[in-house]
Amino acid sequence: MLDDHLRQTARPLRDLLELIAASVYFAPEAHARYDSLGLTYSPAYFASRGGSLGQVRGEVVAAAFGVFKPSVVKAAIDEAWAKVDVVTILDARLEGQRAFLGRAFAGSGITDGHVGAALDALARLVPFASYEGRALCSGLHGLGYPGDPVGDLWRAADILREHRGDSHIIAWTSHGLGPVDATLLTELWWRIPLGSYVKTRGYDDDDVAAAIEGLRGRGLIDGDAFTPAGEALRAEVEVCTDLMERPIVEAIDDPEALFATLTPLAEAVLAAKGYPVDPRSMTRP
Amino acid sequence: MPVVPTDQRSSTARRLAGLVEPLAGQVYFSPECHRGYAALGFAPSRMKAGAVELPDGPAYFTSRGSVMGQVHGEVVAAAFAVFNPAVVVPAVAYGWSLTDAATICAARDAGATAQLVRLLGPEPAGIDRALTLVRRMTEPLRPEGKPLYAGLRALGFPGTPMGDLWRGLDLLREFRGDAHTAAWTAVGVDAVEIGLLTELFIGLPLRSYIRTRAWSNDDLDAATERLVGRGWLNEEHTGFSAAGRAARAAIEDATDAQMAPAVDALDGDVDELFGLLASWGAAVRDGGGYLAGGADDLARPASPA
Repeated sequence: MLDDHLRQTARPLRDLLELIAASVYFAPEAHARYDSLGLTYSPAYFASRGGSLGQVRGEVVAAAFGVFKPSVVKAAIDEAWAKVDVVTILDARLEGQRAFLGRAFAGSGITDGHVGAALDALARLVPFASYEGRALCSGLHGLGYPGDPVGDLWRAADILREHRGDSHIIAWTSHGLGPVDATLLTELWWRIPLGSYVKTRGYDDDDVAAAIEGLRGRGLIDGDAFTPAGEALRAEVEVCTDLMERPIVEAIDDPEALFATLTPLAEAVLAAKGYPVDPRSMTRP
Repeated sequence: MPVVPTDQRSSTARRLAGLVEPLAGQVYFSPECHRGYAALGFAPSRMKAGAVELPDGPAYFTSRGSVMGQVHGEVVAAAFAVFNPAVVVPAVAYGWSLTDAATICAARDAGATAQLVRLLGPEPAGIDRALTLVRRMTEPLRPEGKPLYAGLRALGFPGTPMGDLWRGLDLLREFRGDAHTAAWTAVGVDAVEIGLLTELFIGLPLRSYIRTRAWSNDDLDAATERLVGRGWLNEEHTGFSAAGRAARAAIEDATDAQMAPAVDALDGDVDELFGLLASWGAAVRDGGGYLAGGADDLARPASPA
């Protein structure tokens, strides 16, 4: 069944890319560089990730990230652009992640040959990452490859990660969900308590309480758990996201071989404490 | 629960799009805009569709993209979504070699407002009421996943009656555009495919309007094959299959559905606003400010200016 193949390839790929690409948001080597630029976590996060779009206003970063409270994003971006320009923070991001991944890979005995093989495997998928409606993915494309194996590997992984992220926003907005709704349903999808993660997106108690009431009113949650309709809707959003990965998945000749190449890199990131949780433990297959 | 029944809401959303188009889309045909961009170093308008002056390509991509800020061409291509990036990316790079986002964005607002003032007067009767209603509609529209709309929102309202009307209508136009991109990408359709499906949906011959999107014959051939593979074209590959017609209709319905907060906010004032927009839109068309027939005019060969 093609759709099973799609899901069973797209979701494990997502989890592996998440560790390789998004470890930049936890890497001490990156944070040290942001710190020396005078940036605390929040301005550094929004400007370093949003910088792939260019030196844009916070409202545009908020639109592209999708799930964060726009007023929080705007304040963070305003603070960041008052202190640094986009070229400076993108350089810090690249150097920091290059240093982190270099340390993580060395610590797990990953060879240069292995990095080269992973780069080849991911770089051949990048041209299949569709640009339409995908702002962050396309912005990263516009930055080009940095030119060193670890930097290039990270860039390819980040492009593919943001492709799914951009697609996911399209999926939940076009299913009539707002950012707080989508995050609350994702908490239940991950089987973590309702309201436990959404605060990291900048929303306050009132925002969350209003969204929970709305989801209850729509029959999507009952108490603090999914209703069958709510679980089905959240599953549909993930299937819709998988569907938008189809061109990339179809370009993968041998998914098991790809996973075998990427898994040691992802586990090296975990071993170096480069990501707070193993995403593979939270995914629904 | 929807304030307005779904069918009626869809029909209202679609009528709204048609009424907004000449008043907001006129920015791409405004001689005042063309002159403003030429003053920044862009080429002037060189082609006409009837009496209407068509835009210079790099000026078009850079000026519309500038509402998001100083973004890479790749981001413009992603947000506009239907154009060949191989054309968009160098056009925007060239644009940023001539000007910056704040400068061309200001020229865009000035030129759009100037054409509306020239054709409608600075404060046509009813503009205050129209502004109230348009702002009521834009207020509840969310920015998430809508980069052009979000960029426009961040610009704020300019503060003159016609400037504010222009901004409000451009917000409605770009929100629907962003929503439409979400609707077709969400069902796994790509830029070339949606171009071909839309030609059939609005009753144009295949490979007419899509030429304005800069795709090659090979691109069009490959997309046609993909649509045939999905069972969306007829046996002769000249029109929809029943499944293709339904799929394209569903994309438009999904676009309409995202306009629900705006339509619901208009509530009982649809006829009042639509009457004003219709009369102003007709005046803009009569004055050569927007394509007489609509976007389909671009499906026909243009003439030198």
